[in-house]
Amino acid sequence: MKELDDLDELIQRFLNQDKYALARVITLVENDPEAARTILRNLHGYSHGSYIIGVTGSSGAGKSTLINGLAGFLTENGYTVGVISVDPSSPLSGGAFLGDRIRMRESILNPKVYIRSVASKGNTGGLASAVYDISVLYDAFGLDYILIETVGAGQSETDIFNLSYTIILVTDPSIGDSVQVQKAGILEIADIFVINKSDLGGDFLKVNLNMMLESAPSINGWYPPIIRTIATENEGITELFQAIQAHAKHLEKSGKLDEKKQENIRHRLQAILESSLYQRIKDKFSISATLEQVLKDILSGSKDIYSAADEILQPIVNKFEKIDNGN
Amino acid sequence: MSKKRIRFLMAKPGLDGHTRGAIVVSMALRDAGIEVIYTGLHQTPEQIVNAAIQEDVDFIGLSILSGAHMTLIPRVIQLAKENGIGEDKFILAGGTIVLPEEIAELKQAGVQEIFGPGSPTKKIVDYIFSLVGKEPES
Repeated sequence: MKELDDLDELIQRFLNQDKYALARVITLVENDPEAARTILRNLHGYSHGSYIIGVTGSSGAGKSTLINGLAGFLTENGYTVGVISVDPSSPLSGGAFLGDRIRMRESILNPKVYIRSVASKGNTGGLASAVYDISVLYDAFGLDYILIETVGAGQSETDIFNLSYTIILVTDPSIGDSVQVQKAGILEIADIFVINKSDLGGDFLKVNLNMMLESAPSINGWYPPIIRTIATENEGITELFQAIQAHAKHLEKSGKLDEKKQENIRHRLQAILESSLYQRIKDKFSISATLEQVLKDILSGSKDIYSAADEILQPIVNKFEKIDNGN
Repeated sequence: MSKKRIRFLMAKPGLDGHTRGAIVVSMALRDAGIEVIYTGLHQTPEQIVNAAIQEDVDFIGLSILSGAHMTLIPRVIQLAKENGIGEDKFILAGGTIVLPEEIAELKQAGVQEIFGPGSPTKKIVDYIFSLVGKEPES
C-alpha cells in the first residue's frame, strides 16, 4: 500500500479533474480531520454551483434504479452527475454492505457520472457532515448535479434532507395503505413524489397522495407533483427532470434557494462548533475522568443526571468566572 | 487515519452467476467491521476498476468460479495499473478453482492471495486485517 499522498499534489490533480484524486480526497476528508481542513481550505474558491437533489423512500421502492436512470438522462443532456449513496452501517460491527451500485450498471461506465457509497457510521464527524463535505467536494470538482440517496430514517437523514434543494420521495404500489406515507412525516418535506413500478399499479396510491397533499398546506406556493415512473425502463424520467427544473426555478424565484444554502451552512457551522468545542473542553478539563466517577453516583441513585452534568461542567464554569473577574 | 474502516470491493467479473460465496464472504467482512461495496453480477474489468477508483477501496476482491479467471483477473490488474491504482489496492481472488501453476502465475501478475472454495471466512478476515496492520472488530 502506498503511503499517503502529498496533499498539494493531490489537490492539484483534483483541480485537473483526476477522478482518483477526487476519490482520495473524499477518503481523507471523511477520516482525517487535519487533512480535511487543509483540503477544504485549498478548495474553497472553486464552487461550481452544483444542484443538490435528495432521493429517499423505503428499501425496494427503486431509488437506486431511478437515480441510475436520472443520471443517464442528465448526462445525455450534457450535465455531469455525482451520486452519494448512503447505506446503514451494522450497529454491532460498524461494517457495512453497500450494494446500491448493483442497480446502477449503466452509470458505472458513464464517464460523466461519479458514484460514491457511504456507510452511515463510516466517518469520524458523523454522517451528515460526511455527506455535506462530499457534496462540497463534488461542487468544487465541477459536477452539475448531486444526487444523494438515503433510506430516510433518523436525525442524520433529516440533516441530509436539509442539505438538499429538491427532495424526491420514491414510493411504489406495494406501500398499500397510504397512511404509512403520512406517518413517515416525509409529507412535509418532499418536493416531488414519485410512484415507481407503475407497471404494477399505483392509481389508488396516486389518488390517496393527491388527497393528502390537498389537505396539507403548500410550502411557499409549491404544490408537489406526483410523477409515475417505471425506473427499470427509464419511463417517466423526462417528466421527473421537468419537475426538478420547475422546483429549482420556483426556489430561485422565491428566494428560497439562497435561504436553504444559508441554513445549510448555519447548521453545519453550528455542528462543527459544538463538536469542536466539546472536544477541546473534554481534553482540557479531563471530563472523561470526572464522568466515570459521576456515573457511579447516578447508578447508585445518589445523584440525578442533570445535577451530575452540572457537577461535571462546574470546573469550566468556575474558570470562566475567573476570566470574567480579570484573573 | 487509524480509525478509517477498511473498504473492500467485492466484484463478480464476467459471466459467472454464482453469488452465494461472494455474499457469504461479504457478510463475514461486514461483521468484522469492513465496508463492503458489492458490484453485483456480470462486471467487466472496466466497470470493476472504475468502481475501485471511485470508491477508493483498499482491496479489490474478485469472486469468480467460472474458469475464466486466467483471462479476467490479469485484465483487471492490467487496467488497474493503467489507471494508476495498481500500487494502492490489494487484489484478492476468491471462489477460484485454480491449478497449482496458475496460482504462481496469478501471484506473479499481482494477485496478493487466492482463497479457493471452502476457505474459512475467519481465515480471509484475519488475512485482510493482517495486511493492513489492524485488528478485526470482535
